[in-house]
Amino acid sequence: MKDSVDRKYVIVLGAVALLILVGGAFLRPKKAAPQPPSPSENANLQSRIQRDYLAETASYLAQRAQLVAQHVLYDADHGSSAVVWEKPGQVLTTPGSTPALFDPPLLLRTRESGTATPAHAAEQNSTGWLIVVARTASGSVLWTPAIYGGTRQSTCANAGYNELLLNVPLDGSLSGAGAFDLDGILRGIVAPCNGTFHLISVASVARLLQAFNTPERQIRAAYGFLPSELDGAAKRLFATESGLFVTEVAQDGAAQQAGLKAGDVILSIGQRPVAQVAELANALASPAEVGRDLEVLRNSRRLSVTFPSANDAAYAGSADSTLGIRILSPSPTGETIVVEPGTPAYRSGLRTGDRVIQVGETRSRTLATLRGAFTRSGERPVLVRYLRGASERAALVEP
Amino acid sequence: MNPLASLGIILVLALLAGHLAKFVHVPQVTGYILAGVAVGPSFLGWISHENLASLEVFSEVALGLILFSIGSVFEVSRFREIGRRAVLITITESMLAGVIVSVGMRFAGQPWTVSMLLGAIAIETAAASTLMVMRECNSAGPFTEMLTGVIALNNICCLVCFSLAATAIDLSLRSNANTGLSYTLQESIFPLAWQLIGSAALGYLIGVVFSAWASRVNDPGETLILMAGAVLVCVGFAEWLDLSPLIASLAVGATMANLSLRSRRLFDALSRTDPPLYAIFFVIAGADLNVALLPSLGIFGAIYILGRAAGKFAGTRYAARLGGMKSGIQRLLGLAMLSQAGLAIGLVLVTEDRFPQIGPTISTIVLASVAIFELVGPLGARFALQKSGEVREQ
Repeated sequence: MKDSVDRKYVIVLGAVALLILVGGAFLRPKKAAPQPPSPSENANLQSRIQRDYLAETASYLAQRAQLVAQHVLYDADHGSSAVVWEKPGQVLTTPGSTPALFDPPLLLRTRESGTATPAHAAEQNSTGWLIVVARTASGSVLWTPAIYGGTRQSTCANAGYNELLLNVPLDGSLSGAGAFDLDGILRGIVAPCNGTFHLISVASVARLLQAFNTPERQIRAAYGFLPSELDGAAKRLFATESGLFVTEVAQDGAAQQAGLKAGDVILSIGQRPVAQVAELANALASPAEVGRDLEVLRNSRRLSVTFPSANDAAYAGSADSTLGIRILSPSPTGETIVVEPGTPAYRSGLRTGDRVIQVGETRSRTLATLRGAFTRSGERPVLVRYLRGASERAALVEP
Repeated sequence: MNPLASLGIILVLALLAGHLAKFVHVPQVTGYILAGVAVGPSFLGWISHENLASLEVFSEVALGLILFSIGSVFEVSRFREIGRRAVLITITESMLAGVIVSVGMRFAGQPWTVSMLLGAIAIETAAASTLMVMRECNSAGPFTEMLTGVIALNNICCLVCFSLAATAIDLSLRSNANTGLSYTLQESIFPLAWQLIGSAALGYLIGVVFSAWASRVNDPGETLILMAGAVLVCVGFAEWLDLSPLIASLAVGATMANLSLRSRRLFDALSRTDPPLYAIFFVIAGADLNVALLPSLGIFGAIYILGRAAGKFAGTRYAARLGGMKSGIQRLLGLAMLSQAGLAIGLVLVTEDRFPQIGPTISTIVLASVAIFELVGPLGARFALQKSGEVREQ
């Protein structure tokens, strides 16, 4: 300290300063606490925050949708979307955009495309966001965000599958669409089934494709008819030891063009008798030019039907679809029927909504006539031809 | 960019700009400020607003140090020589600048509230840039001594006038709102008294404690730690107690200058180590300048700039003549007092906080004008110092 300074004054002044500071610190007006916002302001703020949050979410989902859309193509042949499946050039598509009774609901096709393959994931039971992405004829991306709440067991074309339950309705514009999670992993395919559209889980898709890959379906895909093996009663009815019963002939298919009809019994191919569907499938698939002559039993008469080779037989616009289905305008022919589950007709494959056109030898459009024919058949098996969707089918109804 | 990289860039740039400034014979402060403008958000954007906000603490400390240094001018023996005339000059130039700006604004159509606040803010002369120019010129003599004293008093005067103007506006607004008079007085006048007396008390207390301590410290390193501690404690406590860090720092400097035997040594210890801090301070100040505001100056900006300059020139000249000072001081003092920054910007922020309805008007006019004064001011100060013949270039 400088000598000229009187310490007493310094200390007194210091005490005064301390007093001022302490007093002032107590007396100074407290900084007003920020006013809590009024309820209306609060609500306003809340709604704005929420709106911002939702807008952010929406833009994020749109961005994800554009990203996964590269895996989705438009299948002009079927008018539905197609998702690249497992490797580039192979797409999974559906037979169309109307929820008719398609069978099967999924088609595997090859197609030239350079798009990347989406990652496939094992079945997951968790819930969460999905982006359902389809492509329109003009090539634009059609998408909708969805929340899936879980899975349930369903059947489609007699094959069981896991259906992912969504909170959004699925319609024809989304037929064939892929459902991707937010990581861009494919979770399911939208496919027509039992008259409506469903989201089939990816794991089930693989299973369904395998199930559809039976000899029957190979034949149906290539030639447009469905054979079934004869049981004892049928063999007695047709008085033959071997042969295959034609239960369905698709319109405009190779089989129909060759002259095959539902209800025919294929006795042999290229002089070789056939008793099993696999035998017929192998014979038809063999590259040999010969051996495509079928001996057919129709109305107790033997006919010969010549099939084109497998390559020429392709139809429905896809050379290699496991099954091709053409969409036709609803047939005006035939009376629709109601079939009770558990009845012989139900067991033989008839379903409510089928249009019966022939019972035994009687061809008619009126129900009364057909009912008479049923009555006349008594205890014997009776051949029933009917229309379902785009096919003419036949069934042996055995009491 | 992260804050440390920003800081490094600021220092390197300041060095470069300082060299460049020397080369073209302008004050280093101007170089620093221009460098700041260049890298700041106005132009290159290398230093963002976030960086500036995170570096604000450096500005506060630097300003504290500057005012602390200026406080030494109040050493009784020094102040006795210039005191009376310094007070006279300060009051005259402050009042004249404030009145001219206020009246001009009122005539140009601004409401009286805006006019009064602008007039009060116009009083301020930037202590930092003026002191830096003095240091750079290594000037010493009666002119430098007077300039230091006037600037120290000027900042106090500005704070008082602003507080009075704000109180008057508060009173007029409150009388409309029908609140009790005692409450209004306490709300309005207390901040003024608290800022002046409280800050002085805090500065004095810290000054006393650290002076006593300083007599037991001999090591130069420890001396530096002691001084830095004093300034930081002062600025920190002032902010905590809503006091004015500016006046408190001034008071610490004044107290230590008067009480400590080795006050000269203490202040010298600081002045050897603080250049980086000042460089940061001015580059940040430059980066903070909103050059984009310049086109919006308009008629009010012109009134503010011209009115303030006229007030400073005329006020210092008249008062210096009245005090019987040399003609050199009479003519040059006004030129040396054009800088405006720190406190003016601080008062703009206070205005925006206290009177949100008129804040934007004041903020635009003052901040745009500050951009001009901060570039012209150091040039004027250097010119005045050179003309005064007190420059002793090293």
